[in-house]
Amino acid sequence: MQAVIAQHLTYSYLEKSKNRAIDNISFQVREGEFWAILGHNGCGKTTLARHLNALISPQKGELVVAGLDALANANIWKIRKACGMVFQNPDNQFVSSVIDEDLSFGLRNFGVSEEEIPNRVKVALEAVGMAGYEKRSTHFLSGGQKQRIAIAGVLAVEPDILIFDEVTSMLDPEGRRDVLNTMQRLRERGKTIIMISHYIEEAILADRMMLLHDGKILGIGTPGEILPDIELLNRTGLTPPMAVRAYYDLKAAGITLKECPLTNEELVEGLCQLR
Amino acid sequence: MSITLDSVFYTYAPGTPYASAALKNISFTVEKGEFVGIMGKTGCGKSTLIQLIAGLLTPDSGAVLLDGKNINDKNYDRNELHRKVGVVFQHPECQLFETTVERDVAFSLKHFGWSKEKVQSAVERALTMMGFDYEKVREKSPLEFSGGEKRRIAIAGILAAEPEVLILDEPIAGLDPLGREAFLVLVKRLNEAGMTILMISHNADALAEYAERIVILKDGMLFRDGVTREVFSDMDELQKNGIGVSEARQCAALLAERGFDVAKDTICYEDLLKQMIAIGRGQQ
Repeated sequence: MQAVIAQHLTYSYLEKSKNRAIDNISFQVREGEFWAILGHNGCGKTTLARHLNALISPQKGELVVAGLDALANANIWKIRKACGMVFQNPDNQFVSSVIDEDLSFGLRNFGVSEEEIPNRVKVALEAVGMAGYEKRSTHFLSGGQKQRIAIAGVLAVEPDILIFDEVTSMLDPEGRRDVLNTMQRLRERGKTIIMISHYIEEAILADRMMLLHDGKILGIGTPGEILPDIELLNRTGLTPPMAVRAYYDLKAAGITLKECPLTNEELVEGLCQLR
Repeated sequence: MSITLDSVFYTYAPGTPYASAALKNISFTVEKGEFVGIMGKTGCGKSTLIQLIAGLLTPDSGAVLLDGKNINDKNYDRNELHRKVGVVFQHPECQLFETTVERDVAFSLKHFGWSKEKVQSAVERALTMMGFDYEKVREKSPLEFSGGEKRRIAIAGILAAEPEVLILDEPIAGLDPLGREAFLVLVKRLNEAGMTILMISHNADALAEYAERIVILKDGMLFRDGVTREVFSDMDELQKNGIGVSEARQCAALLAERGFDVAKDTICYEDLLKQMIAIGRGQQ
């Protein structure tokens, strides 16, 4: 089944304006897939993500999220429940300074019974590797831990689809690794993941990538199809991973590796194979 | 303008059960015109450090000196401090509040007693430096812009005051790759024009490329202070302490593991590429 079906989605912040935040976007995400959406600041990534979470209703085009038509007003709450969103700055997402209170907040708003809440909180904390932190304060956590709590808050609502909007950009390297590992774990549990990122190295983890530029899709494909295309990346305002850059620079110097590597490990392997 | 920290200690909420020592015995000097990268894990005291330099916090003991003068002395001219040391905090885009871009960038200048013409030309210069078309953006609301653009508007507000020292707290987090690169090139240009730069970042690639010197804090103490190339050579020790090194350095280490002859102080891509070409030629 498809987790997301978007057909010709178009949106302008000022109605009637020709300045389109997203422009004729069509794509389909299958259940359980891990997608990365990349593009420069202001390309429409967040606008698109907000559509998927029903924070924005489509002005034009069609959108079905988790089998629910986003154009039907009656579906708004169902979509928000089925598709959770985690934002860039974890500190802005907390509503309480005690972790279990924070996680319960969303659940109460979705009408989950008081008896069930503690169990949901427990399961969500386990899923992000923070079991036993129920009574701790959000203030004394590291950046990565905070972001994992923010993810747990969304997970507790039991969405099928999770959207991560640049969730690692405020974190130190350890925090980034932490959160990326959490994403991988959620994917193994069958969640559909849509990750917005500026870090091309993170996109390597995805099944499929979408490149956005000025509200339009410039490319959709696997990392292996997209990342070696330097010209396409440049047009999108992205720089290729170091390994891809090295592949072409080595080629220009007369050294041709068997395949274009995406990671440093593959690059080193390629150099070894020259032996 | 030189900056000296002399045995600086700082504790948050002293005398309460929440007391936490943020900085312990920090001493170092940054000379005029240096480009220093400051690294360390979240919570290591980086932001406390810059707040002390900007005079927003006062050390418990020890001194912060600008050009040899203690900024916390009673007779020290605080106005001069705030004019000469520009600080760009994390998420500067959240500081925008005026109705137009021009008014927002000009805000701090109002307090300097500058003429209207001087203010306008400083604003135009700062916005142009940050890559904007002054005439096009001046009348727009700063809130109409995207996150990355808002950040550049906020930084223009700092640059308009023409500081001698520019302190940047995670300025490139959240910028796209080209935005990152363009921003770093700009900072480098300011540095070449004589501005002293202190830049906090987790982005080891950016620092490897642009900073001459790296200061690393760990648990509130000075963990490393040295030339970038030398500091990043010690990759294992840094990684053990949660500090990232540049991608080129990591790749050089992978090559060394496989028995290739690669210099330990390879930290930039250009250096790495040269050595990889030599390896490739040797292999064929």
